[in-house]
Amino acid sequence: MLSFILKKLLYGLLVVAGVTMVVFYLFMILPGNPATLLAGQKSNAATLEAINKELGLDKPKSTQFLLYINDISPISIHESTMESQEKYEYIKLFSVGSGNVLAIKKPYLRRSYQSQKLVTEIIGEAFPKTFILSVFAFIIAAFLGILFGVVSAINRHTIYENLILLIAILGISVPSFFAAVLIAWLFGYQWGEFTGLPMFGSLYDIDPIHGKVLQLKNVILPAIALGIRPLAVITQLTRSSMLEVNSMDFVRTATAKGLTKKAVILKHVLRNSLNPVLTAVSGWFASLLAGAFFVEYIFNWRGLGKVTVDALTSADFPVVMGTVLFISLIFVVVNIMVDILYAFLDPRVKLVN
Amino acid sequence: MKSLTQQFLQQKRTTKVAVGLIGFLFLIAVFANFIANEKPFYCSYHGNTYFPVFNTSNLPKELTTSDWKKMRYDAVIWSPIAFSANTIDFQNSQYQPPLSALEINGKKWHHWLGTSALGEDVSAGIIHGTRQAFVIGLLSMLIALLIGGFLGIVSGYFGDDAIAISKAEMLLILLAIIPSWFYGFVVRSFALQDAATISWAAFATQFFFSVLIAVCILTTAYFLGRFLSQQGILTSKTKLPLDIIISRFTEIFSSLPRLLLIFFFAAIAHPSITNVILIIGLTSWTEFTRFTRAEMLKIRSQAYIESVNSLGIPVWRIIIFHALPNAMPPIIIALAFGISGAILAESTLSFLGIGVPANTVTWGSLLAHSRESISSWWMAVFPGIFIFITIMSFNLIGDSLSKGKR
Repeated sequence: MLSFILKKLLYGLLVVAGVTMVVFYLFMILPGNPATLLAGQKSNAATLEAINKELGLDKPKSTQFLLYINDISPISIHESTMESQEKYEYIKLFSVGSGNVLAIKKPYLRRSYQSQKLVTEIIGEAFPKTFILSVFAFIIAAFLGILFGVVSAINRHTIYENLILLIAILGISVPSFFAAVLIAWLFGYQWGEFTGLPMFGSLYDIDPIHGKVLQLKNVILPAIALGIRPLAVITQLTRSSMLEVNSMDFVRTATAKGLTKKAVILKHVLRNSLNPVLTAVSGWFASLLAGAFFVEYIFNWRGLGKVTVDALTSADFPVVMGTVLFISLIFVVVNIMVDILYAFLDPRVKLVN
Repeated sequence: MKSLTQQFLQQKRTTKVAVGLIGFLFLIAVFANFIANEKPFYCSYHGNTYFPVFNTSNLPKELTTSDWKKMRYDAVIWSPIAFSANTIDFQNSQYQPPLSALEINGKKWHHWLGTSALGEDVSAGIIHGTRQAFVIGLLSMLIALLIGGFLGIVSGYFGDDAIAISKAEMLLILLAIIPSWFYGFVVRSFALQDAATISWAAFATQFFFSVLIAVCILTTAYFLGRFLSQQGILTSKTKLPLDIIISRFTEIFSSLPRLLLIFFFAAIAHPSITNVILIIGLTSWTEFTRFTRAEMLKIRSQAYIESVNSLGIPVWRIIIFHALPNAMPPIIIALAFGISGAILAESTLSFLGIGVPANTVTWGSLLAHSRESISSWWMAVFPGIFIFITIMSFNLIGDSLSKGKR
């Protein structure tokens, strides 16, 4: 088991290293000079040179890559000057060589070109919102998906089954941005007066009197839009898994010994058919976290996706690099956890490979 | 082995409908210029006959410089939708609903599906968008198929122990990687960058030369190594673990967040359809590698491969004429799902306005424009339905093929 986990962790590290390299390479081939982007067009040569020096742009590319790795790594080597201390906010461990220290720090993802804010800070503000949205979408998808799956598996060849299958097919094939536009328009605008829900809105509204006001109702529409696709997948998975388990011997035994239909389905069939569903669901959670781009963009929900798309369209590349790295990290971590969870739940999974 | 027609006749009704829809959309994509075009199909003007849709070179000056619809023709046949995707109609600007019409000299030209902010016809946009979607979907998957198929064949058919090279050859090839990279790409980096700013074709030629130089150096190194090992230096053979290398690489590549990478590349690259095709193609080959590898692993131990092998047929012939045809079904399934994914990625990109040039009308860009005016539902619903139908049809085809296989 331990070697299995270690192996998965090693893979994860490789993936993160790959993403870092891709991200860095893209930073290299960016159009325009980062220094002018950072300081504005009207800056003088001295400022530009200072920024070039701060970003290490005057050094060869291989050195720049090492510097970038040093910047984002939590354990790193820095100059032991006040400036450097202020920039990285590191905690000194011990001195290495002359004037350098080995230190631990929060990963330093540089600053936004637009707002000069630390990218880590931007991510720190945006991530909770994405997380809340994903959790709501996830709850909707898991609850309704399992319910629909069970109903369609029990009532075979009825109108219910066909209806649910239709919903599932629709849910898989409708692109999430189209669903989001449609839902926003239908429930937020056309029937907005009945539902009382807004077309756009983030987790907090800025109110002139109360300042930040938590608007939990804003989460409903984006969560539905985001949840449709996983809902469809969970429905189909639950259904096929239920049908498979239904034809097994122990279900016949349970029915034969006189249990009610309800008890058979809830206690025997459902419990045994949830294993594959559970793993698929947890895998979906990662892509929910990462894939909320359009939904956030359309509903103006200020999460990671909105931040990334805004940064992409305004050429704010440090933010893009930061969010891409962060999202891939989430992806990798969740994937590793799913693999381990799967191995725990189903001992038949070969740990070797 | 049933023929494709027999398989088709045995399919369910929904699959037939899906195939029919794809065929219909494909025809729209091919004939987009004839279905929606502001130029007349045929016109007779001052006694001369013209076919402006096909040929614009011999037209008289007054026809090319003024509005097509305002001219007086002796006889004229218009396209079914007499607007191009970018035709601006000032009479119907500011989001006119479906069935509103452009009226010139008492004749009405209907905007069947409404207009956009500048009065561009939505139905014409959808028809030209179909062409973009199919071009991007099919070509990007062709690239992905070529890369993924090649890697899959190498790792699946040859495996870890089929190809062995002597230590001298390996050593020299490894040594030659550095100079081949240096002389092929580093020395020529300025030529490459220059060509990239001129045109796509110029870059392709320069890149081809770079690859040629690199390959020449590598082959020279290989033959040198072979010569050395024939002389008795470093003769012991090593097996190349191709399968391990390729499948690990594929595994790592496939766990990268794909859509995110596509966004990222597209945002940085110069906006053009070619770039979008390349970006989608170069990031989605992993499925093809997986499927081809799995099939090839099964096929290479079959008796018929052994028998053609014993006949002394060269390996490349065995792979192309004997192994590949039998590996086709799962690859076609992956292709169906891949095309639907590529079309989805394309419409997403153009919805966000990333990567696709601003003046190119696609389904996604129409949908994006619908957000500027909330009440104009026709801008969102019709392109959305087209995206939905296309993706669903490809998914249904993929589904039924994979069920038929089991």
